[in-house]
Amino acid sequence: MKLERLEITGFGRLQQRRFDFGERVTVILGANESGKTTMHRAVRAALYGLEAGGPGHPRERSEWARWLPWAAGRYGVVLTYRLDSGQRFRVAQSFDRGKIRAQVQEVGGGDITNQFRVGRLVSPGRFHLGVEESVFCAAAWVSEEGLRLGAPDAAPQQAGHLREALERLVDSGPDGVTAAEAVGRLTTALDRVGSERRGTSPLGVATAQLRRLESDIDQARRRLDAFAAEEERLRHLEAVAAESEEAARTAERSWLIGRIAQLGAQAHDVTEADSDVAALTAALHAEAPYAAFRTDDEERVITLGAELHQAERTAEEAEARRRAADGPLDDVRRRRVEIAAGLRAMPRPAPGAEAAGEAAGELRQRLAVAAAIDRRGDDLTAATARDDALRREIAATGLGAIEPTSLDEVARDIQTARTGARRWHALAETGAVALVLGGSASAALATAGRGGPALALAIAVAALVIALVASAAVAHGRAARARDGLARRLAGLDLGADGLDRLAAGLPRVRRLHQERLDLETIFAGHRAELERARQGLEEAVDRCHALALEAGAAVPTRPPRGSRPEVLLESAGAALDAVDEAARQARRRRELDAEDTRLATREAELAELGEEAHRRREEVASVEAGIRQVAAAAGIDAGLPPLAAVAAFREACSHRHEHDRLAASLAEAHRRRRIGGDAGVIDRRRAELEAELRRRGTALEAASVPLPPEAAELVELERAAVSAQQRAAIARSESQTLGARLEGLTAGLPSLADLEDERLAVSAARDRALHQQEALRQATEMIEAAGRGVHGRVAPRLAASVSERLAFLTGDRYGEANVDIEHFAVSLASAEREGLVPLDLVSHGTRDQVALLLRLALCEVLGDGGESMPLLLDDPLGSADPERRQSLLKFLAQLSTTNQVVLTVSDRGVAATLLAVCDPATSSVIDVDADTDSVAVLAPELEV
Amino acid sequence: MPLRLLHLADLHLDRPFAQMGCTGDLARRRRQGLRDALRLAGEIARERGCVAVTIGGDLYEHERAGVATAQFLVETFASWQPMRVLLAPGNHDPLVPGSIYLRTRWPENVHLFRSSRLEPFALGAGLTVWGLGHEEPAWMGNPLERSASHPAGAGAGVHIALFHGAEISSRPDGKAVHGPFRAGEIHEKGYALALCGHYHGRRVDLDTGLVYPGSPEPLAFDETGPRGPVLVEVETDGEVRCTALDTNQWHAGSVSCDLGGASTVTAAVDRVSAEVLTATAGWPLERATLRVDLVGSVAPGLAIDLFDIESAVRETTGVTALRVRDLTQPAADLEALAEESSTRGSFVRAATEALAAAGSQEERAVLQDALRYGLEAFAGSEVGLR
Repeated sequence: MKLERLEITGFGRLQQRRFDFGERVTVILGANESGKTTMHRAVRAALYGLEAGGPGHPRERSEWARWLPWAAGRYGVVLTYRLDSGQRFRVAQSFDRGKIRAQVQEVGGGDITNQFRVGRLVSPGRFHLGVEESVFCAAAWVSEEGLRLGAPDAAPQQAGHLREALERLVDSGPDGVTAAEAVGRLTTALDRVGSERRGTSPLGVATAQLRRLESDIDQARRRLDAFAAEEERLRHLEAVAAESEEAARTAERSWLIGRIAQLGAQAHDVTEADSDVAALTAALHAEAPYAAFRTDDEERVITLGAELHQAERTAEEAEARRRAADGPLDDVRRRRVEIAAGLRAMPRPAPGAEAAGEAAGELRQRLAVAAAIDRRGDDLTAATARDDALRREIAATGLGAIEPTSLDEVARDIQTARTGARRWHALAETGAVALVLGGSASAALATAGRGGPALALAIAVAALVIALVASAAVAHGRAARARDGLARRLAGLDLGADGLDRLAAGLPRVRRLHQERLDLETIFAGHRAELERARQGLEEAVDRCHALALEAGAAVPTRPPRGSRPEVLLESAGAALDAVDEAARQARRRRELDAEDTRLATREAELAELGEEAHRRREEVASVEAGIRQVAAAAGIDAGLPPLAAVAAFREACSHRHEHDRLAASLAEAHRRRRIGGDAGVIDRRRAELEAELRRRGTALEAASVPLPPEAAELVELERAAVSAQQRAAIARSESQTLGARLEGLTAGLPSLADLEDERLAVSAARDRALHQQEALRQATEMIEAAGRGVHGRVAPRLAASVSERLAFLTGDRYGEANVDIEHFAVSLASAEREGLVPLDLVSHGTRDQVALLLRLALCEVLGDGGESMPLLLDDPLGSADPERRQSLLKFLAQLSTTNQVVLTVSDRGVAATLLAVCDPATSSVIDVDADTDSVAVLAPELEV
Repeated sequence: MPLRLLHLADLHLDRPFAQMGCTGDLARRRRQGLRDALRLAGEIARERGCVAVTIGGDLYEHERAGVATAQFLVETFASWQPMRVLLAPGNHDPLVPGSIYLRTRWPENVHLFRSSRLEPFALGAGLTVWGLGHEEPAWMGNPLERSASHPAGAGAGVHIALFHGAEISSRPDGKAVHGPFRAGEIHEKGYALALCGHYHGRRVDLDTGLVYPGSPEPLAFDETGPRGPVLVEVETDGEVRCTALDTNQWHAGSVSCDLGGASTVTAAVDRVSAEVLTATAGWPLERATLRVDLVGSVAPGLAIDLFDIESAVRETTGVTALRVRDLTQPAADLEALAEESSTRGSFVRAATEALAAAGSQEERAVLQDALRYGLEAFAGSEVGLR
């Protein structure tokens, strides 16, 4: 960028002024307070606008107020400049109160103001130079403080300040701090937070407190849980005590009810005993006469009485049976006599007669079967006759001599003979016709002059005739052979055509007849065999019949000879079987009579036994009666009484005696009960006492279900249960009281979980917050350090490269290369005359000044992104420099101006002259601020709204 | 002569108050305040001639309640005799093993609903209260579905349900759901009213019969406004009336204070104090709990230390239960800073990228503070710990 013209309508002390800049060097000459600095500031205001205050920053303290025109009038500047690309721009900034405007125009182009708006300001410098105003101020605008030219011993401080300024600029801008300082503040903050291990730090304290509180809370919970468990045990003990007391009350109540019931029963017993004594005494008196009656024989008497009774009954029954058996006995005897007579009259049968009779039945069946089969022989006779008839019919056909199996062959011969003749005739006729016709045709052809065809035809006809003749001959031969065969088989038969026809016609009939004969033969072949078997069986049966008759001892007729007619055989067999049956019948009858006689004998014995039994029973009765009489007499019973009456009398006496004894025993028992029962009055009094006690315990006896009087053991058990329950209740009550007292004492010392939790929550929140702060500070530190490493690592080498680029040229090759430390931007130079790098604070003032300026320029290039050359605005930088250094620097500036425009304000005309002397006049310019010649009417630009 | 009940819920005895900025004695005073609220409810019930006090759950916090709490409840309820006390345990005081409800010997006038199904308790004169208790800390059953018998089959009279539950349609954001039900089911199931607990905000809706008394004392900064039990009157003809009573002794609230433009800590403290005094006007300062959210854009050079600010404001205003949150934003043009080619610009870019990639709220919070601390450090000022 090259500044061309600055027009000021009003800016600080300058008003209505115009300044044209030299291409390379511009010297602005003026006394102190003449407006040199104002001019520099105006350039900056044109490029970056003017801050006019805002929220929290009053306008009166802003830059706008600071540079208000001293005189009334417009407040604004117009700057024309040219970029390295050749583009020219005119920027007009108007700062009038209430009407702050800006306008940027490209010379020869249009309004492009909006391209350069940054917030409320219009900052073409930001875009064309690529650096913020702060960077521009720090780098391109150099005041005396910027170079700090002073005493030689200020070098280290100067270098240090330069490095620090560089670092600050790179890290955060001219008004900020370095990254290292920022990290230092974060570290300080981190120290304030502390760490968990550092016990005195807030975090350490919170961590320790939290640990302690958690332990306290855990302990408190355990104590409270233990206390709760003890409370639960206390409740349990109280419940046990209550239960036991209730059980004791229940048991006591039950005992009272039972005892009352027992006493009631006892009183009832006493009363009953009294009445029993009275009744028994009276009854005993009535039985007194039998007191001495001996009852030793009672059982015997009873037994005898029962025996007598039983014996009499038995005797009666036996006598009744005997009487009932008399009639049947006579019958039986009579019958036996008859049987004996009959048996004497009957002959004795053979031992096997009856068995033979049984076998005879079977034989009769066999005979019947044989007879039936024999009758079927008639059918066989008929069949034989039929067969004869069939034979005669077959013979009548003339083919009787032909076996059935040869009929087919005969039929073929007949057919051949018949057809052969006819065929022969047919062929002969055909041949004749062919010959005639063929001959005629051939002749015709020949006649027609067609000898060839005629010949051919003749030949063909001849061939045909020959063929026909041959066929006819063959047929004739066959027929002849067939007839020969027939003649041999059927000698004497007519084998002419008619005869053959007749034979042919008769063949089917002959076949049928042969078939019928065959069928007949098949049917009756079976019959014949069967008949033969039947005949054989019959003979055997007849033999068996006769044998059986012998076995049965019957009169056996003479057996007919074998082969006799079946009916003869059957008759003989029948007679034998009849004899067998008769013998068997007689044997059976005898057996039956024997059996009957045996039965009757048994019956007779039985009936006779009944009489014996009746006699025995009578004797038994007499015996028993004798025994009774004996005992009765001994007991003093009236001897004249019938035995049973005597028994009854004895028993009655015994009964009285028993009654007497029973009454005596009952009376004794009643007396005993009376004694045991005790005094009724005492019992009643005791009952009343117990009932009162029961009512006192809240139970009315009427309301309670009065049980049956319990057993004594049951009452004892109830008493024991009540005592046991009382003891349990006492123990539980005692334990619960002890425990309750102990818990009561512990209650006051129990921790408050809520208090502890509150504290824990608060400490935990504080710790969490401290950890959060720690983490945030740590991350901020890491990010800043990383950013610093990145930015420094990027900027330092570029700075070094940028400085190195001009260093040799500007220092006359004394120093060829600069190194910029990455960490803190410490600058060192590579000298041609010395080994290694020379720190900046060890080089000469002049070199240091030069390097400082180069660093500023380099910084602009590095931090800026426009790639544009930066004009250097030096505000009286040589005020306190000695002439030598001044000279050196002026030369340096002159050389620097080849790449960067230099605008230098000086108050010393000598310096101005010196500079111009070393510069090219064509590219230099001097502006005398004090002179009015440069004062022109600068119109305020008309800015679009 | 109507029958009267006093209904309260969500007392949360033994609750910690560290989240409200109360620790030590102050927290103990807060907890004592809860006990006082219960005693006061009993006095009011006696004065109004109530036949019973109904408690709709969360009477105490099971994890922290101890012997002293049980003793206090026994003594307090016993002193209310012959007035009945009907207890319906909730999710913070469920009927779990070790529950105070189960291991305490209650006076005779106390009835504890021990089943998770509504069971009747006749108060006489045709009034029946149907109550249930949570048997676990996270019960999700519908209280109105689980009646062993039904009011419709229980005869004439007025039937009132008592349980701890979450009415679905009016659930506050973030509130846990325990015992969910719908208000429309109350009359449908035959109940004239449902005396509930769980929501800490008061709600009395006679159209549906839904009654939430809310917590009688504020338990969080957002529990503002008057609070207290609800008096229920049941006429002989079945008409019911509800009157909310304002009995709270403690006050809670939350305010914002814009620190934009404040350049010093003193200025910041002054602003905060002014807001606090405005917000607590009319409150007894010794029973006031307030949360202050610092908002606005603050210059990086202004180091805000919450602890210092809290301490200073407490001293200035006299409000002891104070909790300050720093929600301010740095007054820095992050976009412009990010465009710098300086180390600061690189740091801002790195921090911004890390923020964009942050996976959790916690990570984001740390990075936001890291950015802030870094900017403060680059501004050359002392880093204020937030």
